[in-house]
Amino acid sequence: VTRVLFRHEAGQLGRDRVCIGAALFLVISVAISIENAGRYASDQEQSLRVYKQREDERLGRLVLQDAITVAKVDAGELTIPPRTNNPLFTPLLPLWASYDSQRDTMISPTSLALLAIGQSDIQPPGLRALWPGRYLYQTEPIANQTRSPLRMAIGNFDVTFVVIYLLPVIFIPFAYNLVSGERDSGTLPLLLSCGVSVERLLLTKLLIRMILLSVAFWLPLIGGLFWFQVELFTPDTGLAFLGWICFVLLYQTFWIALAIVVNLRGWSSAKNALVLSTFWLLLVFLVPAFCTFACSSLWPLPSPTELINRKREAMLDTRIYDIEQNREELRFPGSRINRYIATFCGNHPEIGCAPPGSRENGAFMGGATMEEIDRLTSPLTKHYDAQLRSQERAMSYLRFLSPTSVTEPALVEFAGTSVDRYRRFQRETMAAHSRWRLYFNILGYKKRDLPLHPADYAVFPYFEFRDPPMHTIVREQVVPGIYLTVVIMLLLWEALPSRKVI
Amino acid sequence: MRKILTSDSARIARKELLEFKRDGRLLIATIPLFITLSCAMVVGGQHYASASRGQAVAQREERARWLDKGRLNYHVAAHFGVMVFKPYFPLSSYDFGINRYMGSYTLLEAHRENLFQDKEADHGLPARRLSEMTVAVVLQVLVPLVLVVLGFDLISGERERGTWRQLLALGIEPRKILLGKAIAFALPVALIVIPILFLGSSLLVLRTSRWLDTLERLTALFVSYLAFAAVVCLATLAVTAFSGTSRRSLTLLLLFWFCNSLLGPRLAVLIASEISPEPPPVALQTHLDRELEAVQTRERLRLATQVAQYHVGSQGELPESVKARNIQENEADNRRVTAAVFQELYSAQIRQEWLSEAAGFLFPLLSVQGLSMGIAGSDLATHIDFANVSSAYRYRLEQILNEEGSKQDADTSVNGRELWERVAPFTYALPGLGWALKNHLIALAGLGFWLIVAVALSRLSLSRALKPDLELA
Repeated sequence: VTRVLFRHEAGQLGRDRVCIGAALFLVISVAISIENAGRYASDQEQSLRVYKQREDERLGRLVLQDAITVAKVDAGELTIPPRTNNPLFTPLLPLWASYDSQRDTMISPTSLALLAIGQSDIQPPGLRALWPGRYLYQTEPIANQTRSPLRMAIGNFDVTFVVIYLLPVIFIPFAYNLVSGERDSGTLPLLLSCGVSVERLLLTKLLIRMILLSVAFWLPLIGGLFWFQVELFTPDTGLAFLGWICFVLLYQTFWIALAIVVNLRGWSSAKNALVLSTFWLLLVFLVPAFCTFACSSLWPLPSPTELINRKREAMLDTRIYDIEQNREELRFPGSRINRYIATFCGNHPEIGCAPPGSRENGAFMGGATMEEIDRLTSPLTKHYDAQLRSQERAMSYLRFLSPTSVTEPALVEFAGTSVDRYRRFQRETMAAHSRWRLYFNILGYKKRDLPLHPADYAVFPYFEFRDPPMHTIVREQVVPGIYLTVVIMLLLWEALPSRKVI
Repeated sequence: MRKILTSDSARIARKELLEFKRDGRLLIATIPLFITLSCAMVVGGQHYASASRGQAVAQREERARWLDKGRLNYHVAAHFGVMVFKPYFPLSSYDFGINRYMGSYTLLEAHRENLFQDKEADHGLPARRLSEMTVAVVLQVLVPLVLVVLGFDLISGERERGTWRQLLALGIEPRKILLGKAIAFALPVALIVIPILFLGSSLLVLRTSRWLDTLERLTALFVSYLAFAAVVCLATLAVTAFSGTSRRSLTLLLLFWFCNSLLGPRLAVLIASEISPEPPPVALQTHLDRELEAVQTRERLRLATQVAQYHVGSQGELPESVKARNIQENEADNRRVTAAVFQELYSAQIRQEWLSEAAGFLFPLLSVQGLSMGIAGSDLATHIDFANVSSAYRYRLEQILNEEGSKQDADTSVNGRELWERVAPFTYALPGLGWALKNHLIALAGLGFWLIVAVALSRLSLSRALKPDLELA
C-alpha cells in the first residue's frame, strides 16, 4: 500500500505546477546564492593574496636597502647622523624599522566561506598597525568602507539566507495540506478505509516532498562546492562541513516536525497555512529581532563617538603629539613624561630600565605615553567590554527561544564568517601589536643608534592569524545541536496524541 | 458624522471588524504591531537623543581641544588634526538607513584623507540587517503583513461561504462594499500606527531646533508611507477580489509580501552590484596605497630638485617658506589622488543605490525604502555630502596652517591660539528636502507607478467583485 501511495503521490506532485515551480525556484536560489558568496570569498582571497605579495615585496626591498646601507656603514663610507629620518637611513634604526617593517594582518576566508557571507562584509578583512606616526589609533581597518552600505544594510543573498528564510517558506506550500487536503477533497475516509493509517499517509506525503526539496537544495549546493573546488576532505573543513550539514538537517527536521503537528490538529488547509506562516514570522523574523533588540537596549554599548572622544581627550592630557615638549620634559626628574616612563618601566620589569630619570629611558617615551592613554581610557573600554559580555551572555540564553537564533549563528560559525571569528582576529592582532611595540621599545633601548642588520629582520615578532582547531568550534555547538534535537522530539511527541484529523 | 457612521460602508466595516474580533485575528495581528512599533519608536528616539547628544558634545569638545592644545609648530598641529563627527538628524530615529553601516567619525589631518571609521555595526551583537527593529522596518515590513493577514479573505471568503451573492443582492453599491471592507482592514492598523507616529513625531519636532525642516520632512515621510500602505491595501483588495478561494488569495499575498520584503531587496542589491561592482575590499586599499606611494615619489623628486636649486645639503636645510609650500603642494596632490579613488568608490555605490531603487518598479518596498532613507537623511547621498564637506574643510584647514608656515623662518617656530582661532569651527547643515527628493527621483517614480497600478487594479477588482460566482480554484 505504501508503495502505491508513494507512486500516486509522486505522480500528483509531478503534476502540481506550484510545487514544481517552488522546487525550481529553490534550485535557482541555491545556485545564485552559492555563486554570489563563492565569488565574494574567492575575490577576497585573491585580493588578499595580491596584497600579501605586495607586502612581501615591500619588506624585501627594505631588507635589501638596509643590507646595502649596513655594508656602507661597516665600510666607513657612510655615517649615521643621530635621530635621523633621512630616507637613506630608514628603516635602518629600530625606531623606524618598527614602523616601516610592520606587516598588515589579514584574515583569510575559510574554505567554506561560500556557504555564508555572514559578518564578513561588515568586519574589516585586515588591520594595519600604526605606530609611531599616528597617535589616535594603534591599528586601522583596511578597506573598511568599500562595500556598498546599502548592500550591508539589506543583507546578503547566500546559502544561509536560503536555509534560514527561504527553505521554510518554500516548505509551507508543500506541507500545509498533507492531511487536510485529502479531507477537503473527500478522499480521506476512502484512504482510511483502504487500511492506510493517517501516520503512514502523512509520512509518505512528507517523504516524497522531502525527497523533491532535498534534491532541489543539495544538488545545486554540491555542484557549487565542486565548481569552486572546495577541499572538503581536509580534517578541519570536513568537520566543519559535517557540522554545517547536521544543523541544516536539524533545522529542516524542525520544520517537518512542526508541519506534522499542525497537520495532525485537524484544522482546515487555510488555517494550517496561516498557522505555519505565523510560526515562520515569529520564529524566523520577530523573535530573533526582539532578542537582539532586548539585549542591545538593556545593555547599551558606549558609542564609537564616545570612545574616540575620550581617546582624543587622553591625547590632549598626555600631549603625545608634542614630541619636542616631551623631550624637553625628560630633563626634569619629576615631570609628567618621566612619571609615565616610571610606570611603564614598573609594568615591564623584563626590560630592565635604567634608574628613574635617566636619559636612556627616553627610548620609552612613546610606549609609555600610549600606555598612559590606555590607562586614561580604560574605564570606558572596561565598561564597553562588560556591556558587550552582558549582551552576549543574555543572547546565549535568549537564542533558545527560537530554533532560527540557534541555527543561524551555528551555520555562520562553521562557514568561518561569524563575528566571533573576526573579533578573535582583532583581539589577537591588538595583542600581537602590543608585543611588537614592546619588542621595539627594548630593541630601541638596547641598540639606540646602532643600525639593524638583515639578520635582525629574520627574528621580528611577526604575527599571522590562525583559526583554533575545528573541534573546539564543534564543541561549542553541541548544546545548540542537542537543543534542536530535543525540540524536534518534543514536537513529535506532541503530535502523537493530537490526531483530530477526521 | 452621523451620516458617515450609519452609511452602508460604515456598516460593512463594522461587521468586518466584528468578524476580525471573533476569529481572533484582530488581536493576533494588531498586538504584535502595537508592541513592535512602540518599542521601535522608544528605542529609536532614545538612540537619536543619546547619539546626537554624544555627537554634539564630542564636536564641541573637539573644538575646545583644537583651541586649547597649546603652543605648537603649525605642522605638528596639522598632524594633531580635527576630528569630525557625523551628525544625527531627527528623522534618523525612524530610519537608521545606512548609518549603522558607515563610519561615524573621521580625523582630518595632514598628508592624508581618511575614510570614515568605526561603523556601529562593528560593535555589539551580529548585525541583523533589515530585520532590525526600527520604525521604518515596522512600516515597511510588518504593516503590509498585518494588512495581508486582515484582508486576504475579505471578498474570497464571502465567495467561499456563498454570502457574496447575498451581499450584492442587498442593493448596496459594490463601490461602497469595497470601501467598507477597505476601511475595516485599514482602520485597526491606522488606529495603532497614526497615534504612535503622531506622538513620537510631536516629541521629535519639539526637541529639535530646526523644527520647520523636521516638520516638512515628517510630512514627506508620512505621505510616502501612506502611499505605500495604500498600494498594499489596494493590492490586497484586488487579490482577494480576483481569487476564487481564500487559500489562493493568502498564498499569493504572502508570496508578494515575502518577495517584496525579503527576497526582492536582496536580489535587487545583488544584481545592482553585478551591474555596477565596487572595487573588491582589499583591491581598493592596494590601489590607494599605490597612488599615495606615487605622491610620495613625486614629493621626493621635488625635494631633490629643490636641494640642488637652493644649494643646501639636505631637505631639512631648505628655507621654511619652501618647506611649507612643499607641504601645501603635497596636500593638493594627495587630495587629488585620494578624491579620485574615493570618487570611483562612491560612484559605484551611488549607481548601486540608484539601480536598487529602480527595482522599486518591481518591489515597491525598495521605492519607499529609498525615499524614507533620503528624507530621514540616513542615505548614502547625505553621507557622501558630509564626507565632501569635511574633505573641503580639511583642505582649508591645511591651507591656513601652511600659509602661516610659509611666513616662518625656522621649523622650531611655534604658533598659538591666534592661529588656531583662524580655523573656523566645523559645521554641517543637512541640505533641504528638495535636495533629498532629487536624489531619489527614481524611488519617487517607482512609488507613483505602484500607486497607479494599484488604483487600476482596484478599479478592475470592482468590476470583478460584481461577479458573485467566480470559479473556485
